[in-house]
Amino acid sequence: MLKLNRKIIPNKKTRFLQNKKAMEFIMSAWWFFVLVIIAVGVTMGVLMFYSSSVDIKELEANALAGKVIDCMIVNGDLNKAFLNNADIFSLCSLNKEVIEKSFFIRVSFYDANSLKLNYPKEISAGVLAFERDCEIGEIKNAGGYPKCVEYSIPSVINDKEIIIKIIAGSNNAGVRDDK
Amino acid sequence: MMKCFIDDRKAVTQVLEVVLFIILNLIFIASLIVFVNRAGSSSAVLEQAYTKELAVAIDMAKPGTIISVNIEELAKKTGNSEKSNLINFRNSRISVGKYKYSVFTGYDIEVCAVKDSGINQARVYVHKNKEEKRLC
Repeated sequence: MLKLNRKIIPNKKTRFLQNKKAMEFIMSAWWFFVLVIIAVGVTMGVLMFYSSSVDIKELEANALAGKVIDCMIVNGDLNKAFLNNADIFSLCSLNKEVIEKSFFIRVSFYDANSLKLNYPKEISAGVLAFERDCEIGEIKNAGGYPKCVEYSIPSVINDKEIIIKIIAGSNNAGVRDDK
Repeated sequence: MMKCFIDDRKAVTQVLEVVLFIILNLIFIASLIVFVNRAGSSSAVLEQAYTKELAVAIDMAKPGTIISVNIEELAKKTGNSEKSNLINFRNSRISVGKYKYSVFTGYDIEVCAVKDSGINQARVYVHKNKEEKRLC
């Protein structure tokens, strides 16, 4: 049998690797580094998962729009009180304080044929800036922005066909009281 | 004889090194498992989920609605023996444990703890106004 008997000529690198103590030091340092990476990864993953919040802004905006539609249209007809400067908060049983802080609602009346603003009066309440913020949030697809929903309902005012456009938005956020 | 003794000492040291290495690794893995387990058993996520579900349900509810919530799991996780204090409604805010969330409904909300067929529940009553008869 042919025996290979090659002698490795130690250079700077191999000489260092042949040193057992130096090798052990490298391995332990490397192992420590691996452990730190694993620990940081697991901790970050767990913290990210448990600190993320459930976003129900769109659901709330839908609920708000639905509530306004419910009180605006009674038995298929438009509630006339809406057109007579009635207070939307008392008419739709909405909490003024909360709406003006974290919500937005706008009701517009359009001519069904010309699609122009038919009725001069627009009903709006809450933080009006949310309408623009919703658009920005949609473009940026980022958190922290309000979420809006839009509905169009055909109806009739004084024998004139109209379209009622309702935009509702929410930027409501929960609070954790750790005291 | 002397050489054998020296060899034995070397072997023991090597075995000790390996054992120590394994023990330290086990401690590291155990501490990671404990951390993940603790984070997972925290009631924070559950409180948030209950609060938001209740908030949407209240916002959509009409007067006369009764919302029943099974709070057995929640009470167990929060370790709250005072089940009547687990869900509250104050200043237009529904709170479950330490988590609070505003609701936009203008109706009056009443919350009470009840025990129905041995199950701890929270009942949320939606009243048209404050003058309406309390049901708790």
